[in-house]
This record gives sequence, C-alpha cells and structure tokens, in this order.
Amino acid sequence: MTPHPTIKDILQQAPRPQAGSDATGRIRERMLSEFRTVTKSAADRYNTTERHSFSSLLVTKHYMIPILIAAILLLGTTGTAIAADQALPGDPLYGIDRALERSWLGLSLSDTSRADRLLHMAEEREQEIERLRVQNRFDDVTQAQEHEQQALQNAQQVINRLQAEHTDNGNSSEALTNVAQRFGEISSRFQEREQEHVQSGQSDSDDDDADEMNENSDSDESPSDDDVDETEVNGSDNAAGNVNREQEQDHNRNQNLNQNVNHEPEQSQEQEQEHLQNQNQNQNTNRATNTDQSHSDDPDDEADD
Amino acid sequence: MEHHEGDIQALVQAAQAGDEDSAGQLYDAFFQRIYRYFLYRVSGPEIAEDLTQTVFLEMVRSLPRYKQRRAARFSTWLFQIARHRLIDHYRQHRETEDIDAVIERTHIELRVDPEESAYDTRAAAVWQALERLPEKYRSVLRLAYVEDLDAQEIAALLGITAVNVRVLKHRGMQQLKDSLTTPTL
Repeated sequence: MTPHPTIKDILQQAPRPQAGSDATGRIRERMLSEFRTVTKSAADRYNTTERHSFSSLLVTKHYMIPILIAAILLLGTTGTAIAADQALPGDPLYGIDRALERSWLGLSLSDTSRADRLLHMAEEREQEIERLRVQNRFDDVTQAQEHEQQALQNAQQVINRLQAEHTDNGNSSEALTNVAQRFGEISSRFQEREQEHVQSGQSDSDDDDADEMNENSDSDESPSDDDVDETEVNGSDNAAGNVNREQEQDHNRNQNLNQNVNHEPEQSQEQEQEHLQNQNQNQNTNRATNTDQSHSDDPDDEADD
Repeated sequence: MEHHEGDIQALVQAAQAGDEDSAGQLYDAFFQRIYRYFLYRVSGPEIAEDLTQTVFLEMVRSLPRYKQRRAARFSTWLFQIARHRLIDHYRQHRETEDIDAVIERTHIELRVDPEESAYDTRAAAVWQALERLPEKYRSVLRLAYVEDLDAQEIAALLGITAVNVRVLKHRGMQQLKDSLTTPTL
C-alpha cells in the first residue's frame, strides 16, 4: 500500500460487500429454473403454431372468417358464371348468362368497345345456334336467332353513330373500321343462315305445290355496302299464305339488318313500300304479280315453283 | 470477472436462443454488482437478495423481447430494471426503512479506523471530503468508483446522459481534490 494513494485508489479500494455463496447459488438456481420455464413455454407455443397452423388460422384468427366466407362466395359465383357461360337458350342458367353479358356490356368504356362487345354477343349466339342444331333443339334456335339479330341491330346503331361522328370530325379510327368490318362479316353469315332457312321453308312449300315465291335482292353499287333485299312473296292459298308469312318475317329480319351505315334511307323506304304493296297484291289476288324491274333481273334471286 | 460488451452480447443472443449456460454466465457477470447496488440502498442484505432475485427473474422473462441496439448496452437495460425495482421497494417500505443501517453501509468512511495507518488516515479524509460534496457529484463518484458502474450504467440509473455523467464525474473529482488540499482539511 503506497503512503500517498490517489483519491481514485482510495475510492476503488473501499470494501465491496458481496452476497454469500448460499444466496448466490440459491438465486442462480431460481433464475435458471425460471429460464427453463420461459424457454419451454416459448418452444411449446412455436410447436403448437406449426402443428396446428391451418386450424389455428380458423380458430384463433377471427379476422380470417369473413375472408374465408368471401372466398367461398367468390368461388361459388365464379363457378356459376363459368357454368352459365356454357348455357344454351332454354337452359336454366341461360338467363344468368345473358345477365352477365349485359353487365359486361355495361362496363364498356367507349362506344367502340360497346359495339365490339355486342358483336361478341352476336358471335356467341352463332355458336349457340350451331350447338342447338347439333342437339336438334330447333325451337330454341329461333330464340338464339332473335337474340343475335337484336345484338346486331344494337351494334349497327352504335356503329352508325360513331361513323357519323367521325365523319363530322374528319378523322377515322382503325378500331371503328375493324368493328364495322366485323359487323359486315357477322351480318353476312346471319343473312346466309336466314336465306338457308327461307329456302328450306320454300322446299316445304314446293311439296305442297301451292306457292310461288320470288325473292329478289338488290345490291348497292358500293362493294362495301350491305345489300337491301326485296322479297316478293306470292301465295295462292292459306297454306301458302302461312309459308309466305314466315318468309315475310325472315325477310323483315334481313331487311332490318341490311340497312348499312352507307345505305340511303330514302331508297330503303321506297323499296320497302314497293315490297309491301306487292305483297298485299299477291295475297289478295292470288296471282303472280310483276316484280319490280330493277329487282327481277337477277335470275339467281328468283325462286321458281 | 470483467466481460467485454461483445462477450455480453454473444451471451445474450445465446440465452435468447435458449442456451441455459449463457443465461447462467450473464447472471455471474452481473449478480454481485446488482446485489451491491441494492445493498447500499436498502436496510438489509436479505432485502437486497430478494430485490436482486427479482431483477434476474425479470431478466429471463423479458429476455425474448430484448432487442440489442448499437448505442444501448445490456448492462444499462439490466440496471434500469434494478432501478425500477428499487423505486418500487421504496414506495412499499417508505415507513419501515432502517435509515441507520443504510447509512452504515453507504458511508464507507465510518468503517475506516483513522488510527490504523497513514493509508487509513488519508482514506478517512477522502471519504469525509466525498460526503461534503454536492449530491450530484457524490452520487456519480460513488457509482463510478465504489459500485464499478460505467458512464452508461450510471446514466441509466440517474436518468441523465452518459456525457453528463462524465462531466459530473470530472468536476466531482476536481472538487474532491481541491477540498483535500485546502488548509481547512
């Protein structure tokens, strides 16, 4: 010990009381026992979480319940929608299919998109018609045809308006051109099917040997324009009259669809009036009438007995 | 036994991973200092032992939630637990504390016999001068040199920054020297 210790030495060399070994060991053992308990419970919690991960998700995570319900509803709705998409006219889910289509149509962001979706609906009806014919469900074919015609008419209105707007603005849209072209293709297919239907009806009437039907069509000079058909039906008796009425309905459907965007409305009205006049004469007098000279020149459009 | 902070952090990590031996080494590293901290401030060794046990039990329970930070040390965290347990003890035993026993353990100079040697004479003078210092200097010097706490641990116990602790320690030591060299001593 130095005779002149520093202050720091004196302070540091002050007596330092210590706990006895008994107390030290006892407290140490108590602490380690607690440590083991804490460690074991933590491990148990971890293992429980791992072992029952999914069940604990359901039981302990209460916020997962609404999520699971929503997922089940979503899966159910999606499954129904998929099943409804495959439904045909006359099927129980066909109404849902149509409702979904209308909802999808309502979500269109532009008129061009709306026309495109209407054409998509018409194409779906085409496919349904084919499937219905394969299944020999001809009654339902008529319903599908009406729906296809309706979709085409709506699409035509939208396309007409868009083309008028683009003409006013002096610019054109490639998307609109594509939609109009697609509309022409689908309309042509629709007309072909209708014509086949008319011809098949005519064959039936030939068997009855009672009808005389002339169907003339007139084409516009412009190759891009759709035709405006003039159909003339001559009937001699009631049976023939029934067939003629069917053909008249088909004709009216064709005529409505054939009003193209470039078609002259005045010409269409004139032709329609002429057609109606001729039709009335045929039904009343039961004799063949002279057809309009401009429509009878084409021998392909004539339907002979 | 002195432990570097890196060693302490390694022991903490191992104990958090469930290593019982590491938990025991942490106990060995801090037990006597925690015990002494209580012993200087309560009325008996039994109470100091109980409080020390409470601190270490709380240590192992809170160890899984303990997060190491770059600026904070494990010993600081541990002494903060001790400080809170001491405050709780004071609140519960305010009326029954044996003040004389506390003074006897706290005032180490009372156990120095001035007649024994020149060293003891000077030591007695140092302790008497220490007691005349203002409280803020005295506490820091006692915690630093008698209870072997570093600046961060003292800062945690006193609720001040470590820089403040160093300043108080330096000024307290300077005043202690000045008082020992004055003629009035």
